[in-house]
This record gives sequence, C-alpha cells and structure tokens, in this order.
Amino acid sequence: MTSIAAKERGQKIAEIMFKAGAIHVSRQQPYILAAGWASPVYVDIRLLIGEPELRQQAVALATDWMKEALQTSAFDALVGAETAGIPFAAWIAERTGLKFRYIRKRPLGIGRNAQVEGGAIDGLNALLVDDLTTDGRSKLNFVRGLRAAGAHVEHILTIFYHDAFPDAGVRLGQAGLTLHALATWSDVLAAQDDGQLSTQDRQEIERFLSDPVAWSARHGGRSA
Amino acid sequence: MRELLEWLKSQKGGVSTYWEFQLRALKLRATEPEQAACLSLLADIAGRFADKYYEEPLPVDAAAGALDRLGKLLGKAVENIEADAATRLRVLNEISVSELEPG
Repeated sequence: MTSIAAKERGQKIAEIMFKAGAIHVSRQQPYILAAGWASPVYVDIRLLIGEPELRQQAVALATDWMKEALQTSAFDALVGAETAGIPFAAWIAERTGLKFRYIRKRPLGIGRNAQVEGGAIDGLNALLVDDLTTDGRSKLNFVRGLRAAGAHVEHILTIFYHDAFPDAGVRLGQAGLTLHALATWSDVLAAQDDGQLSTQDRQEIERFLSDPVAWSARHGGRSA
Repeated sequence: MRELLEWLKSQKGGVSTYWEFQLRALKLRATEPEQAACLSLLADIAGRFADKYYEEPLPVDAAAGALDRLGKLLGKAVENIEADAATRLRVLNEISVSELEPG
C-alpha cells in the first residue's frame, strides 16, 4: 500500500515535472518506447536538472525518500546511471554523506576498461539511481555491470516510473531487484498540471492508461 | 543470418530491438564466420541507432522507417550470401555507408 507521505511526494514530483515541461504529449505521432510499446507521452526528466529551483525541490524529495530508506537498508553508495542518473545520485549523495559512484552503459573499452567510476565498488551495498524507468532492461544492464564489479545491488531508485506496461516489475524482480519510484502515472494524473496539458492531452493519456497494451497495438506498437 | 532476419521481422522496433539485434549479430559471427564482416557492419548500424535514441524520443514513423531499413539491408545480405565476391563486396560497401534514419 502506498503511504500518504509517498503519495504527497509523488504528486509534488509530478508537479515539478509539469513545471519543467517534462511531460510531452503527442497525439498525432506516438512515441515508441524501448521495448516497442507505443505511447502518446514522452517524459524528459533531464529538464529538471537545468532549473535550480526545480532540481533543488526534486533532490530534496529524493533525499527524504533516501533518509527513510536508510532506516531499513544499509546503503554504502549511490550509483548514478549514465547519463541523467549521475547528477541526481551526486546531489543525493552530497546531502546524505554517502559514497558516490557512476556507471557507464558499457565498459569504456580502453585502458582499465572500467564501467564503474569514482572508486572501488567491490563489497559495497549500492543503490542504483536513474531518472526514468520504462521496461527495466537498461537497469538490468547497469546492475549486471555493478554486480560484475563486486557490488551488492538489490534496490533501484528512479525519479519517474513509466508503469503503464507489465514487464518491468517482473523482469527486475526475477533479477532480485526492487524498483522504487518517486512518481508514477497515477501521481501525474492527480497532480496540478500548471496548464501544461490540454483537455485533449489529458483525455488521450487517460485513454492510454486505461488499456496501454490495446492503445499501443492501435498506434503501431507492440500488442503483447 | 536467415534466422536473424526472421527474428527481426517479428519485432516492433523499440530501442531494445536494436540492442538485441546487435548482440545477436555479433554472436552469430562465431557460427557464420564467412558472414562476419557483414554481421559486424549491421551490428554497428543497429548499435548507433540504439545509442542515439536511448535517451531521445523515438517517434513511431522513425521507428517504423528504421526497422524497414534494417530489414532491407539484412535481406539484401541474405539474398547475396551465395553471390560472387564482387557482388558481396558491393553489398558490404552499401551497408557500411548506411544509417537507419533518413539523412
């Protein structure tokens, strides 16, 4: 069950996303997400990075989550995922005093051939931080790299989870991972959109979310 | 390489398709060494496209176009598996200067 605090946090993150213009709706030309699903919305969390006030608010909310999580999980290090996870992880690490590392999408291919940077990760309990999760495949890639380097990884934190489609939770669960998201689509729909969404946009998002698989199939994406 | 083409035809063309294609093509070099150069070039093209759209929105038309182009390039390579050396070299050169999105 989602706690009241988590709901409030989710709506605040969603409102920050609206203020940053991070939620793009395209009713005529849908987007194809990584796993092949069609979606009328594209979420760009990187727009939060550039605005001081918005990023400070988002990082404060993420830090609140982090402090709560630290009561039950002993994380040693925050690991930012290339690229947009890196600044968020660094800012949260700065506020919590935890170690910080970052991980590339793939090893550099030259020199030390390192995938993890910022210091040794061997034996550390690491929390992977990224801006966004859709189908979870890129998270698995990062976690494989971290585990290969000797890190213990069981948890992932993302600012937003595109939780419309069924795959990600199962996929991550099979890898022994728990995904924590500060906001999901239910938060976006409940939040004040600051005039960013037209009535038609909101209706299209609601139609999409009522049956994302069918919506995808009707708009050139996967159907199963 | 024919199996790779059949697999590609079943895909919808999200970024994950191109990462998976890249992995499959590179792995296939071990069992089809006579096609290694072609598979490497196709893997590079798919990887470049996936890297570009990993953090950018992929509109449905661009996704469909890229899937069609990759399918045609791979299809041409499959058609010419038994062709003479000059023809195969021409196909390799065509693939080497191709991209999956319109220039």
